[in-house]
Order: sequence, then C-alpha cells, then structure tokens
Amino acid sequence: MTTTPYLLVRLGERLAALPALAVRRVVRGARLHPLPGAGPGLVGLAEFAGEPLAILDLAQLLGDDRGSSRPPVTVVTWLGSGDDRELVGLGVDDAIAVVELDPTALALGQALVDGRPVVVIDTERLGVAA
Amino acid sequence: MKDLRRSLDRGIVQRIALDPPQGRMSPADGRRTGPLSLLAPAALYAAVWAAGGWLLAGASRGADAPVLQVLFHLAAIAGAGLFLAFDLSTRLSDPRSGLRARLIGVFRQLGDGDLIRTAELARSLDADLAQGVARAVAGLATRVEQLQANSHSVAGAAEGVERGSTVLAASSAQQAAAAGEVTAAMEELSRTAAEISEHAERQNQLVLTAESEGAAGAEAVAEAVEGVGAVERRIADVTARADTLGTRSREIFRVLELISEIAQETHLLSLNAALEASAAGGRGRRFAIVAGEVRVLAERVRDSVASVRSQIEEFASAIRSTVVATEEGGKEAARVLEEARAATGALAILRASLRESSEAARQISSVTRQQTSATEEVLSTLRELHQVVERMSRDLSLLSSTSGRLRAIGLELELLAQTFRLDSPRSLKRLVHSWAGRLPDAPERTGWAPQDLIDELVAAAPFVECGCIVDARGKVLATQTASELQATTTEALQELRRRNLADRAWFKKAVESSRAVVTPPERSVMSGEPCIMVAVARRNAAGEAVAVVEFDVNVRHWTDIGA
Repeated sequence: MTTTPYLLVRLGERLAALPALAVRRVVRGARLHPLPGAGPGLVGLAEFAGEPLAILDLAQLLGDDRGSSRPPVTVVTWLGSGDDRELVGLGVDDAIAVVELDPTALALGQALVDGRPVVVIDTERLGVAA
Repeated sequence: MKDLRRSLDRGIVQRIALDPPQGRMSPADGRRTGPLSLLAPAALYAAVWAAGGWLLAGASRGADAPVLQVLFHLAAIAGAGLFLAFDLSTRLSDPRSGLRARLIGVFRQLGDGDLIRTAELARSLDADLAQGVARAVAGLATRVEQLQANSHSVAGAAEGVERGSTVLAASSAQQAAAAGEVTAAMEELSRTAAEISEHAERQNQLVLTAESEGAAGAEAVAEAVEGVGAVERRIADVTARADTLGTRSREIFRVLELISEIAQETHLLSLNAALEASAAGGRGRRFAIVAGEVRVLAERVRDSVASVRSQIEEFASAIRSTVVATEEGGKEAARVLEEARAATGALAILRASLRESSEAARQISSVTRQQTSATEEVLSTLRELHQVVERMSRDLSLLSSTSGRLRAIGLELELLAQTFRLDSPRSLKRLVHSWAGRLPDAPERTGWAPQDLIDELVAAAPFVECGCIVDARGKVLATQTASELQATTTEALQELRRRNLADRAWFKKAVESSRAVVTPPERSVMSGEPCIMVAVARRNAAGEAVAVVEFDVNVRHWTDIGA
C-alpha cells in the first residue's frame, strides 16, 4: 500500500500534518508586516520570492488561542486546489519532519505518529474554507 | 559615795561617840575666891635680888662675877617659882577657897569642847588664871577654826580631785579601750597590708605570665593576619579566575547559539530538501533519505547543543555561585583580616597595660612592705601607749579612791572640829544653841508660833536642809526644809509633822545632855543625801528639857557653813 508524505509540524503541545506536496518551503524568521483590522487568523504579510505572502496562524485556524505570540516558523504552502489554489504562509511553532501517512488519514483528519495523535490537515479544503 | 559613807559611818561614829559624857555645871563651880596676888613671889624675887646684889657688890671684885650673876638669877627664879607653887598648892588644897571646883568645872567644859562655856566659867577664876584660860581658849578656838577651815579645804579639794580623777579614770578607761581598739585596728591593718603585699606580688607574677602569654598571642595573631592575608589573595585570584570562566562561558553560549541557529537552519534545509524530494516522487526518494539523515543530524546537533547549553548553564550557575561565595569569602577574609589587625593592636595595648600593671603591682608590693614595717612600729608604740593608758587609768582609779578617803577624812576632821562649840559662825553647836535660845522656856504656856520661828531660822541658814522643833516627848511642833527643797518635800514634811521623833538618837542625846549634839551622817528623808543632825535641848530654869531644836546639814553643802 502506498503512503503519502506529510510535513509534521508542532502547534504548541499538539502536532499537525500538512500534505508535503502542497508545501513549497519552510522558512524561519520571516519579516512580518501586521495588517490593521485583520482577522484573528491573519498574522500579517511577508515577502516570499519577491511576492507578498499572507501569513496565517495555523493554530488559530484550528481553533486554538495562542495569544499575541507570533509563530516562529512559516510553512509556505498551497491552499485550495486547481486554479483556485493560493500560496499562503502558515505560521507554526516548529517544523519537525516529513513523515509518510496512510492515504486514509486525510479522510479521517487524524493519524498516529510514533503513538502520538496528529491532526491531518486537508489544505485543499482548508483553502476553500479560508 | 559608798566609800565615803562607810568611812563616815566607821570613823566619824567612833569619833563622835568619843563626845565626853555631858555633866551638869554647878553654879558653885564658878565661884570667885580672893585673888592670888603675884606680889608675894615678886617681893620674894625682889628681896632675893637685893640680897644678891649686895653679895654681888662685895664679890664683884672677883673673877667669877658673871657666873654668880647667872646663879643669882636662877636662884631668884627658883625661889619665886617654889613660892608660887607652894602658894598655888596651898590654895588648891583648901576646899574653902572653891578654886579647885571652879577649875574642875572649867576643865570639864574644856574637855566637853564647849569653849564658849569654858570662857564663861574661866571669868569666875582669879584674874591671872582667867586671863590664861581665856588665852588658851582663844588659841584653841583659833586652831579649831583653822582645823575647820582646813578640813573644809581638804574635803572640798579632795572632792574636786575625786570628781576629776573619777572623770579622768573614766576617760582613761575610754582611752585605754580606744587605744585597744586602735591597736586591734592597726594589727588588722598590718595583717591586711601583709596580705595586700602578698596579693600584689602574686598579681605581679600573674601579670608577668599574662604578658608572656600576650606576647605569644601577639605572634600567633600576626601569623594569623599573614595567613588571612594569603587567603584573601587566594580568594581574589579565585574570583578573577571565576570571572574569566564566566566570560568564557558567555562566549561558549554565543557559539552554542550560533551552532543552534546553524542546526535549525540545517534542519529547515533538510525539511525543504525532503519536501523537494517528496515533490520529485520516486526519483527523489533517495534524496529524501539523505535529506532525512541531514535532518536527523541537525536534530542531534540541536539536541546536543541543548544538552551542552544545559551543562554550560549549570557550569555558569556554579561559577556564579562560586564567584558569589568567593566574594563573600573575600569580604569575610577582609573582615577577619581587619579584626585580626585590630586584635594585634589591642594585644599591643593589652601588653603595654600588663607591663604597667606589673610595674604598679611591684610598686604596691614594695610600698605595702614599707607600710607594714611602719605599721609595726606604730603598733609597737600603740601597745606601749595602751599599757601606759591602762596604767594611768588604774592609777587614776586609785587616786579617785584615795581622794574619796581623803574627803572622808576631811569630813571626819570637820565633824571632829564641830564637836567644839566655838564663838564662830562656822560652829554648828553655837548655831543650834542660838536657835534654842529663841525658844521659850515654857512652850506649853506661851502663845508662840513655832512654825514661824523654824521658817525664819531655816531661811536664815542656807546650809540647813531641814529644821524642826519637837517638844519634850518627841512630838513635832514645827518643821521646814530649805527653800529649794520645799517644792519636792511637801508630802515628806506633812508625814514628818505627824510622827514622834522620841526614838531618834539626836533627840535622846539632846534630852540627856545639856549641850548640843552632832550625829554621824545618815541619809536624809528629804533629799536622800547624807546629812548630819545637830540638836540641843531647850531647858527651863530647873534644867529640865522642855523642847528640842534640831537641823540637818547636808555634807555636800559643808563649805557653805558660815559663808
């Protein structure tokens, strides 16, 4: 049975997995420009490859309240699918590794990595919801 | 006082008891007979002298004229004397002449001591005898008065000496006691001085020992100061090294930070490589494996850095604690060093004080030994003084006793002189006779006032303590005390007025005798002091006693008599 690669990230105490094929790059210490009047999930704007990139707080998108602290690591990834996909930055506390998960994990929305529960994020759907 | 009393009772009573028995004087005793002229012996003496002159004229040519003159005078005196003796013996042997009886009366009065009566009786004798007796009475009276005066002086002086010597004896006894106390105190002082000397010497030895110990202590403290200084220097070195270690630790932290950042970047790089490998599909699988290994290495580096950081932090914390402890140790060492230096100074001062104390103790010991020597000399002198004062006290007591006896003798002499009745203001017998002369010879029939009389008589004689008039049966007719005693003797006087005094010795003697009597001293019921009683009976024409007048004379006021 074939597996699908996922990028394992840490959001506070919890772990999350993003489809590795949707991820363009993992960067640290991106220079953020806060946007006045932005929503709770939008941290600000950063520059990536000469283009402005919206930085979203993944933990807040998943319903966690992390306060005013900024996530130190930005995962540049595609949200949505097809022509509607959009490149955004997801702020996480750390990017841990690229792991292989069962294809059913995406449908289940969760999986176990080394015995620890991991939230499996569907970036295509997340892009629609966003 | 007891000595005086015993002396008076023992001596004076005996002497007063020697008062001769009183006899009656017959009126015939003083009968005057014919004069015994001295013309007869004078004529005989003249005749013998004329005959002798005639014989002397005839023999004056011889060489024995002066011897004959002497013999002649002797023969003339002898003849006149023989004639006078013959004439006197003839007269005395003649009972009809009465001269013998009168002379006996005169001599009896003289023997009784009544010089006034003697002189009165002597006037009934022949003129020459009367003259001779008068001269003898006058001479005797003069000597008795001199005896009285001298006995007054002796008694007064003896009393003064007795008082003074008694006071001096008491003072000497006190001085002796005080000298004894001073001697005891000086002995105690001497002992104390010896103890002080001994203690000072012991203190000196102790101080010397302490000074020696102080010197050793000073050396030890100096070594301690040097050691503490070395410790302080070591601590400063350790502090400097700890500071260096802290600096090195911070540098290591910076390197670790850099390594950590590199590891994180490597980690991200390996992740991105893994992502690229994933995007490459099957072709990127081998690359993904390498990227995974790089990531693992980066994680191991990151974990190692974290571990090293933790250890370095512990090391830095230990260094900081070491620095803090070392700094505190340095401060403590500095403080100890300061205290040690202060102790060195204090020890130096203490050693100086100990040396001064040792010197002072030596001086105290020396001075105290000198004081002990001087005290011994003073003590010796005080012991001699004590003995002298005690001897003086005993001598003064003896002098007081002797003075008391001398005073008693003076009083005895006075009493002896008072056995004479003199025509003198000092004669108590004369006084009591004069008092009796104021009494009527028949008191029971005349309306006289005995109380007024005794009041007058007592007031006129200040030396009289108490006077009284009693009738022939001893009943008190009147009595009175001296003015200074009247306030305290009212009850005693009333008691005396109710009593019968017939049993008193002076009353019995006065009734029996025609002359005044003087009793030995006895304690007065009025003043409680020794008094002599002088009494005489008032007699009527028949010679019967009709009353007795008496007064008490305090022997303490003896010298006031006749003053």
